[in-house]
Amino acid sequence: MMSTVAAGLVAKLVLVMSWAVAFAFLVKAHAEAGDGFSAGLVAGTGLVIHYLVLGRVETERMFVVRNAMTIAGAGLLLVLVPLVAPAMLGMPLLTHYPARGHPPLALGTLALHTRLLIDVGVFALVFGFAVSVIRLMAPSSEREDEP
Amino acid sequence: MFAFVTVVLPLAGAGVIAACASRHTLVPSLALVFALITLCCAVVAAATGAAFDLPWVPSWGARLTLEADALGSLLALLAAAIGTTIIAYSGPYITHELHERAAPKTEVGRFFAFMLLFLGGMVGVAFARDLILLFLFYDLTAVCSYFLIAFDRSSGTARRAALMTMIVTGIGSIALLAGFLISSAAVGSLDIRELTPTSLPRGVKESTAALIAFAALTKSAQVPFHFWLPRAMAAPTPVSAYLHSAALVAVGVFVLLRLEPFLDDTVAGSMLPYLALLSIAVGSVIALGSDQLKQILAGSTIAQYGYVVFLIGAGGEAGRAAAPLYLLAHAIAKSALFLTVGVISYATGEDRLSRLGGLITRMPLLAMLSAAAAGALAGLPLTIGYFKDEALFEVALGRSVLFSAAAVVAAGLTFAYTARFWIGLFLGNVVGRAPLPHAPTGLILPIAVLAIAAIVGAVVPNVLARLASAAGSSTGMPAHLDLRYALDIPLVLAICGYAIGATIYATRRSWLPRMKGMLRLASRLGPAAVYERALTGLNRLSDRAHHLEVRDLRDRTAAIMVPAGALVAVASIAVFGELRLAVSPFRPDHVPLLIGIAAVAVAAVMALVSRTHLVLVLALSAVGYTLAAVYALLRAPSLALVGVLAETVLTILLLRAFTTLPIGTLREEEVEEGRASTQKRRHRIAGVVAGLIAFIVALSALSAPAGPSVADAHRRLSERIHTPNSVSAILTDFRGLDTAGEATVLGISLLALAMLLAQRNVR
Repeated sequence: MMSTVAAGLVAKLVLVMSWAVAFAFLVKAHAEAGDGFSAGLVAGTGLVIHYLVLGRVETERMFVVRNAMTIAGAGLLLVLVPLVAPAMLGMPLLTHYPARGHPPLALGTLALHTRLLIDVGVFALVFGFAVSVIRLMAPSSEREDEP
Repeated sequence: MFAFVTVVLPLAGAGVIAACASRHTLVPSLALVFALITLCCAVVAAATGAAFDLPWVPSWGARLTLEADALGSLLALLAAAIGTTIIAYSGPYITHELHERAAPKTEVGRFFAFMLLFLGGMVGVAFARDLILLFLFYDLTAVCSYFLIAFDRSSGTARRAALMTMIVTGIGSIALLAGFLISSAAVGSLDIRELTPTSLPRGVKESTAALIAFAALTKSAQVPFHFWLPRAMAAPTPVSAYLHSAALVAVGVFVLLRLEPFLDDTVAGSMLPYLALLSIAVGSVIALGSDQLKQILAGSTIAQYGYVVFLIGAGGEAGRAAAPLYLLAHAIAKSALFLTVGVISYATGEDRLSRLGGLITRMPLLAMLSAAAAGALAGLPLTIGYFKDEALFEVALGRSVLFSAAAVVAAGLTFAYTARFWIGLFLGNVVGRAPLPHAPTGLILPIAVLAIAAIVGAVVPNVLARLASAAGSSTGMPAHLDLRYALDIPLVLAICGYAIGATIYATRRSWLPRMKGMLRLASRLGPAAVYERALTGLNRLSDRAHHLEVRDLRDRTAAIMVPAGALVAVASIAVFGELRLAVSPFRPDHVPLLIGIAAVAVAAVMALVSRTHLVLVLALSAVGYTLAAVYALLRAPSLALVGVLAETVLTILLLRAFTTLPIGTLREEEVEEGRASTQKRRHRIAGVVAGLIAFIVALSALSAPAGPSVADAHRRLSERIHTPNSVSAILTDFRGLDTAGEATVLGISLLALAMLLAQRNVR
């Protein structure tokens, strides 16, 4: 790896920026283009670049990288909770709260409702998946898989 | 409420024991405490007729409905009482067995947890009034039996036996569920009480009866599904004593009793007595011909449950009441005999009749206690067993001379194999090495309890008769049974039975070798062989299909694409007349689009002819990026965004992966393939044909006149759910189920990938 100081700095900057963009995609998902999937890919790409430039040891110092599998699992759980939880309460699957036509909780211009949970879950799953795949392939890369 | 507590308590107990399995010295007593409290609750529930009702899955109409009626109480009390006795027995026995096997002591926790879970399942089956609930508990008993039979995980025999039990009774339980669903769909209720026999149409009734009878026959080890029971003897002896005498096999006939109105006046119902007689014959042959003690008892169980099925099938007022009585008497006697076998193999280490004998001088107490149990099994007077035989004769007399004769012969067979078992063990010359000085009191005491129960039952025939009559009539049909000591025809028949039995036993030297030959022949040609062959065949079929699919990547792709392509082609031919292939007139704003498409085409061709991986990856990503640009031109920002991002990640990952490959790999593959140039030509033709079909289908789909689009509705609804971005609205709400499914697939493939790559790293 070409671990010159400048490249490392750029990689770190790209990482921060990619996460900022991912965050924007995530919170604006329901108003404009972008969703959890894109956010997860952006955040994952940032890490991939970090990985390629700064190498394994440096990257795996990060908490999110070490726990990528857990993050993916938590994401899957987060997707499934809004699906299953209403059924436990005797309502049809995927009944969202607040119900249709009712005003949602508002955080500034951000409307909060349970649909966001699915997007956050997809984000965590895709991000965790991408990072895990890179980590898993690292020792001796032979096959690839699309995140 | 007590009905509910009785069911939940052992289940909770199983959890508690599983949690503190590491404190293995505490576990047996803890399990005993749970079992005892369960027994007390069962008594209270039975005495008060407690009921419990809670809506459970309202949309299906399934309710958590438990009721301690007479029949259910009988089974629950039986399961709890014998379960408690056997859990008490298991404490010293299992500890000893684990010690012998040099297995970790913490396995005790697993044993007792499953025993309690099984007890909960039994009480649940007994009290359940809802069909779905009944099915769930029915399956819980099956699952527990799997783990209990295969308790010795190091033994292949035990594991195979457990699997066989699981498969045979599992097929039965699927039939049971099918029967339940058919009948409840016809009636519109899942409550057993509301499924009155008159409420079902003829066809429904016949098929339901057949399915339920099938399930019960598999569970109660009746011919031709009996073969799992002798093999299940690989289980630890307390498990056999509980599951294979009193509990698991009893569930089958209990379901028959519970759902008797379904069987009344059906083909399946009228077949039952004959199948039962066959089971009695087969079971008796196994019991008479086997050498292993537990096999003798297993054969006897098959035969004895044949009697119960016979009583149910023969029906009538007496039959309905006699069946529960028989269940009770047999369970007490048989579990005591199993426990006796356990003590003997504990003390001597032997489990074959031919290597044992004359034990009465070494273990007089055990001999007396098991004599009471054996007497009860053989139907001798002054034991509870006398009444089970009297009831049998009464029912048979009420039907026909043929049935009466069969009943007498059956009683004779029972007498004969019981005599062979007990006399062979305790009387005669001392065989084999001397037993240990004493068996622990903890093992003798439970047998004493059961033996005393067998004797006490004989003293109170009126109580037994009342219990049995009440249990028999709890389906709403009349049941009545009189039990007394009297000089009547049943007594004469009983004496005939003893005489036949004594004769069979006395002449054993002449038939024993032939019986053994028959058993060997049966194991080669019988239903067990059919089962083995079916299992092997299915395995081979599965292997072949698997091999066909995973031989190489091309085959796997073909396995999906060829049928799909064939379907599309057939559909295209079917609607050939209506196929419209229109090209819209050229407009200037199409120019960027056309350029994009041309670029995609060029990149695609590049990918085809590329000679190195680097070019291949770049060409493929060029296809992706250009498509994303096309989406952007078509004003689909979300698609374009996802396209660009996915392509970026994919390209980086592919490049990363290919850097590890030697540069010439792709060319080498080409050269290798080049040898078979006809094959290559065939691939090209297949590719062109597939491409043409795809092109025609896509073009015709796009040429269809545009109807009202679903997009408008999506856009309108998106606003209402505060998600102006309708792509997000579709993903998280309208098609949220799809998203959840895809997320699950992604999660599973990540796990699979992790496992595959972890294996590679280990290697």
